[in-house]
Amino acid sequence: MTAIDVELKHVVKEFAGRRKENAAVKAVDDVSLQINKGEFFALLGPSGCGKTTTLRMIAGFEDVSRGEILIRGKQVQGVPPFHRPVNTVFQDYALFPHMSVLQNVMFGLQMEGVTRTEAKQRAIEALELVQLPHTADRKPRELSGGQQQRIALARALVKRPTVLLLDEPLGALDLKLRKAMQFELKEMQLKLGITFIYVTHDQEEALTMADRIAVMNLGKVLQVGTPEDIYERPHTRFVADFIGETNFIKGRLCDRAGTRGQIELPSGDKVGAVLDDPAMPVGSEVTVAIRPEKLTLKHSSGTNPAHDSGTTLIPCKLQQSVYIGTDTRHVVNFGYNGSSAQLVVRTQNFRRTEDLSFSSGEDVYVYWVDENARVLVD
Amino acid sequence: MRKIAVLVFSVFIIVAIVAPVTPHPTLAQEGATTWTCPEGYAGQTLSVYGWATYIGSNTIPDFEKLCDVTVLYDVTDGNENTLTRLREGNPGWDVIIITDYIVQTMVEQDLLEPINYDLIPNWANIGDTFKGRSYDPENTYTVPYQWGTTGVGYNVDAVGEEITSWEQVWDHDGPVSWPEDPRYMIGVGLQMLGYDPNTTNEDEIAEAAEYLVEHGSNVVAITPDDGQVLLAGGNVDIALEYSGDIVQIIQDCECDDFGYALPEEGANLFIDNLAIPTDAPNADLANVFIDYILDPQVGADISNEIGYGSPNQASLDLNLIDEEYLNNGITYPDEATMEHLWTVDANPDQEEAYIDAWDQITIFVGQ
Amino acid sequence: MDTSVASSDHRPRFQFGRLKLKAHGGFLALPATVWLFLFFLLPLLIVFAISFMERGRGGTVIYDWSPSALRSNFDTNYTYVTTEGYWLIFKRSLNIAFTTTAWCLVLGYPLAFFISTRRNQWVQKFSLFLVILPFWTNFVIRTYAWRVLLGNNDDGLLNHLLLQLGLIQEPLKLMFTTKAVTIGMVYGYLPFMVLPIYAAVERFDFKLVEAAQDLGGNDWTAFWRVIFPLTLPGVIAGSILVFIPAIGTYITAEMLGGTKGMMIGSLIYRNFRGTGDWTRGAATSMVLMAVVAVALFIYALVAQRTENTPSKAASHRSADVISRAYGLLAAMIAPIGGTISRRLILLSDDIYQRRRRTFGLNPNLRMKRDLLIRKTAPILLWANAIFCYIFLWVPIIVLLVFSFNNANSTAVWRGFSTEWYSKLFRGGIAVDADLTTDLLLQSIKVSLIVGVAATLISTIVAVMVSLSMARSRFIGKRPLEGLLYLPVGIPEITQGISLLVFFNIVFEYAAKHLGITLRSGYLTLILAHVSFCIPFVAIVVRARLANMNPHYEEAARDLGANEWNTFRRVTFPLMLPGVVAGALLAFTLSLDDFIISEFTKGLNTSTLTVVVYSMARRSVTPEINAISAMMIVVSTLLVGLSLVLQGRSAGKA
Repeated sequence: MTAIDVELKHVVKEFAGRRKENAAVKAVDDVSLQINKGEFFALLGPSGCGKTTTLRMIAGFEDVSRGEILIRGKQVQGVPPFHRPVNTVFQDYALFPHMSVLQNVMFGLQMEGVTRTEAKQRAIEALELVQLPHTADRKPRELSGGQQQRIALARALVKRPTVLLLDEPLGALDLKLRKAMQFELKEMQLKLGITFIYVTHDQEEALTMADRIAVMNLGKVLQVGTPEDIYERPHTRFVADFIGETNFIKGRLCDRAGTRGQIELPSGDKVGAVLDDPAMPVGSEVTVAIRPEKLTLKHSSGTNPAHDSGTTLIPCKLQQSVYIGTDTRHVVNFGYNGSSAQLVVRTQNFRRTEDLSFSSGEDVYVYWVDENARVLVD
Repeated sequence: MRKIAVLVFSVFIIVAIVAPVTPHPTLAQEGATTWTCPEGYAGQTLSVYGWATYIGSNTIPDFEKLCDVTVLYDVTDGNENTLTRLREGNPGWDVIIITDYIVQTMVEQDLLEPINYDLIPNWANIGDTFKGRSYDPENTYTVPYQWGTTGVGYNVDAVGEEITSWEQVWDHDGPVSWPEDPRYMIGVGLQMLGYDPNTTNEDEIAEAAEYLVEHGSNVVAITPDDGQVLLAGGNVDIALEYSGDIVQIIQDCECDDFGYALPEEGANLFIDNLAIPTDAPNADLANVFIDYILDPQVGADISNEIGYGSPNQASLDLNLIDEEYLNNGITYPDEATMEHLWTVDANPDQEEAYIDAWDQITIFVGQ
Repeated sequence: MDTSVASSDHRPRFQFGRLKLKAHGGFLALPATVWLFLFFLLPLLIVFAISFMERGRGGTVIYDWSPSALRSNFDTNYTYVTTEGYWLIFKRSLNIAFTTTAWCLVLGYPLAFFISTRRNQWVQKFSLFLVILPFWTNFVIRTYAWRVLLGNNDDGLLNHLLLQLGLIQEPLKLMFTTKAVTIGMVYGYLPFMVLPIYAAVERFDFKLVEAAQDLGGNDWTAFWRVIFPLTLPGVIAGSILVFIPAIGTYITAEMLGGTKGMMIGSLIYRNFRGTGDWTRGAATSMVLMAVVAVALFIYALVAQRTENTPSKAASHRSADVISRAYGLLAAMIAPIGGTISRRLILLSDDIYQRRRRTFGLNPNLRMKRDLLIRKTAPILLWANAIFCYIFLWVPIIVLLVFSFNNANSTAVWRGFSTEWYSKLFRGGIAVDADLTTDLLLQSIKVSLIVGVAATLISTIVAVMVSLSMARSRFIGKRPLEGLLYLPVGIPEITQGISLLVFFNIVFEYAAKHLGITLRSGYLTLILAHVSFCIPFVAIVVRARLANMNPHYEEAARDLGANEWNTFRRVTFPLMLPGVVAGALLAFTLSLDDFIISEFTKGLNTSTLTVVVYSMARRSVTPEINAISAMMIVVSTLLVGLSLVLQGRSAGKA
């Protein structure tokens, strides 16, 4: 059993309503989390989902309305930010503009009462860690965005915090730099072994770096799990939709056997998918979610080809194909009888042979392995 | 912010256009004068520069009505202020009110114009005592306006005894105010040292300054002409002030709280005068105005309102001066007191010495 | 910090092609240059010259330019005004000015902080207006209200209250002390401190506080190490804006100080208006200027250190520009200044560390202390704000109450009456006016005419010069910058007497050589008022221009607008808020001015402040209170109305 660094128990954060008639707004609604020591933990969600508020409660900038937060097993309710063993890398870095880079990094150490000489030495070490020792005497505004970001990181890390909180630290950087920094951050976290709690709205960032991800929406945690869990086995339509691209197919559960279900579409086609909820009664209205890359296109040879059990094959009409380098993205219509729904299919361009090229307007089949499709609760 | 600014501005501008309306004065009903204005001045303007609360409230409106002219009255800080401003060039005054001692200085510097007695038949009303004084032996430049004494106004309760001597003023354990009147105050110092209050000896003047600083440790304020306000408001126990100002506060409070004394060692008598400054834009009307002031009824109305002594013998002879002033023992002191009053003479040669002495007094007194 | 200046500094200094192209922009600076040269710099130089002359008989000046005469007169005049008596008063003035500045800072910083941290923006605006509103009543009247409050016996309202409450047994001696002067001056100048600090705090990014706390600084450290240094430009601006008028104070010291509280302004005034000795007065003014210059020089050194802050807030500009004028000097020894300030920082760090080590050992104790700070800080902030509001409003309330007094007194209550209002009203609609009412109404007219004229002219001139400074380069731009801002750093009384002397000499010359009789009046008043308004309007307008993105203008040109159309359709609308704010400032300054008006007024052109002052000294009647009451009611209504209007339009949007 790994040690738990940060634990949130039924944490609620309410903000007073703007007008009298509005009740208090719950920014964070009954959130419980356990973040393990040395873990890279991401809070992922759209803006306004409560992820930053959650982070600020851990840091101590916001009080909890209900519930409790424990850091290293200690209740931190009422402990001001400057007495918590956590440090933050702010979204816009919040580097002190009137201090030099070195002074910025030394600041936290001086607050601890570290002597000037020691503070200076450690600050320079921290600057070396982020590969910017030569900027020590500059003012923050003389640095580029990426450099400022590293200084902010150095400033927080030099305190050797139990937990490092990062509030969308890469948000202001351009794509290429962001990618590089993602990698670097992960490296650094592995090297230092510090617990990182990382807030982001960028699912790719979360998937790339995090050991575990908590997906939040409307103040609630919808799902916690490893990137693979979250991606492959989303519990809710929101999670499936938010992370990556997903096709949703509406239908009615017409048959089930264990975790396998048969869903009848309005067009009459029947498709197979995995059931998460074993108690779901036959006849329920359900949504089937399936990732575009799990779908395959097959040429229609006029007749309905036979297929193995545990797989699904439905006839469609290809509307459009777009070549995007690594993949080709196809949009197909299915359900001939007027009730048209669209599916997106991605096929990898590992080879471009005759049998894999399709033309618009062509009748095709979409094929998938049932294990890759999931029946979701709405 | 923009809206506010625009609003504020428009209101101010509207007020600026609408607010100032020249008042049309009406003739006062009581004590109407029989004085008539000579022809030919209608529509002209006269500018008068004098002390605040030193003219009757109807004096000017009545004159405006009688002559159909506009009178502008502006307020001076004191004789020295009037002198310096005249030196800078007459700003446009036709009549000024000045005290005896400054007259010679102004004459010497060509700041005054001779009076035209052809236009002043009422000159005959002035009592002989007030004609031909040393500061203007022929009354070439000045006509007496009011007279008074400079003495000790005091709060009877706070002082606790009747004041008869300057020593009581020096020794009083409580706040005292002096007037911004260099020659008068230095005169008191000189007199206490046994010198002539109008001495020309610079050493004596310096000695008087030292004397005053030494005896002025209880002075909290040297004020231009508002000692009576401090006295009435309780901020000082003793105010060395002009007799009329003290009479005014005694009248206002209708009480016995305040006394006025002319100490036995001697005190100052002053005569304030009407004069016409050089370059007066309307000297003729100025002479007519002076004649108007010398009318027995007009002069009496002024004295009855501001509580100073009237040099207008006709007013006294016609019994136009209120009894209360004649008998209050302040406005018209008895013969014995009058004996030891001195006047300040002009001393242009020693002006610098007096200025320097006063400079030092204002800095060091009451520290 | 000024973007336009800063960015122009990156360009090469001399670009002749560019210079030619843009040179015509320099002409826009001409009116301001000529105006300030004629009605500010030249008069000042004349006063400087007079301080080297001999006093003539009867207060005249003997002009003798021979070196030996200059030398001996210099000795006489300057020795006199820098020894014993005068020096005593100089020291006292400095002392009072510093004390006033310090108190303004102690009260004003937390107040500004309080106001700018109100979450609700309406509450914030309202709290700010509560600070500004008292200042729309006449300065003299407000000071007079303190006379009523601070009276020495139990007629003094403060003493009366304290005696009634049993807090004191004997009436306090307040009136006619340096304390009274300091109270009156803190009262008078507090908003000059609050406004720039408010602007600085409002622009402060509170994320930085979180960062400081996150790094382990408690609330106090976060304030002291982060908020305070970053709002320091506001503090410096405020301190300068308080210190300069404070050291040259005349009215407050005259009305509340008595003999013990007399300041240098009174000595200068006496030498020009009382006994009359120009040479001595001139020398005193020059020494006063030198004292102010030294103080500003120190400020400039401090400002140099803080100049590198990234904020381009408008308020910061005023500190910057004043220090810029004196900064030419400071720049020469800036390296020394830099070293000194670095040493100071190191020292303060060391002290901090030492203290930290001595009682930073017990974490439990530390936690308790930090929580105590966290709890008490808001309470103290509130307490200070409440105290300040009482302090600011009590005189106004006293003033309002006594405007209904049924007696000819502004200090003793004798029952309710609307007599004074009806008196004013009667006078106003021309039925019957006595002398006092007449004088008051006339003076209001004068004040409004002069105020409106000075506002219009100074705004136009200042806008022109600001545009030219921001958008063109021409020879003499730097010296002009100094000239433009120097008046802000010169005590008002020095400006007043220099204009007096200047107009005098001009009039004398005109009479002697041209045979024209010139007299002081509206013209001299307006000329003088414009010259002291120009710098203030220019500061505000230039700040606006500096914050304006030049791309808008480039875009307009790109779309085919010529220079004039660019100005009319783009530049002017964008700078308008700054122009209006500057104009409003000019109008307020003009209305409130006493000393310059006193020295430049002519026949029957006394402004309201001048008349009210001479009345306040002698025969104050509640009529004055009634006028101020009406002024404050009108301004309150206007502010209220505009707040409602703004609220509506905001609500719709």
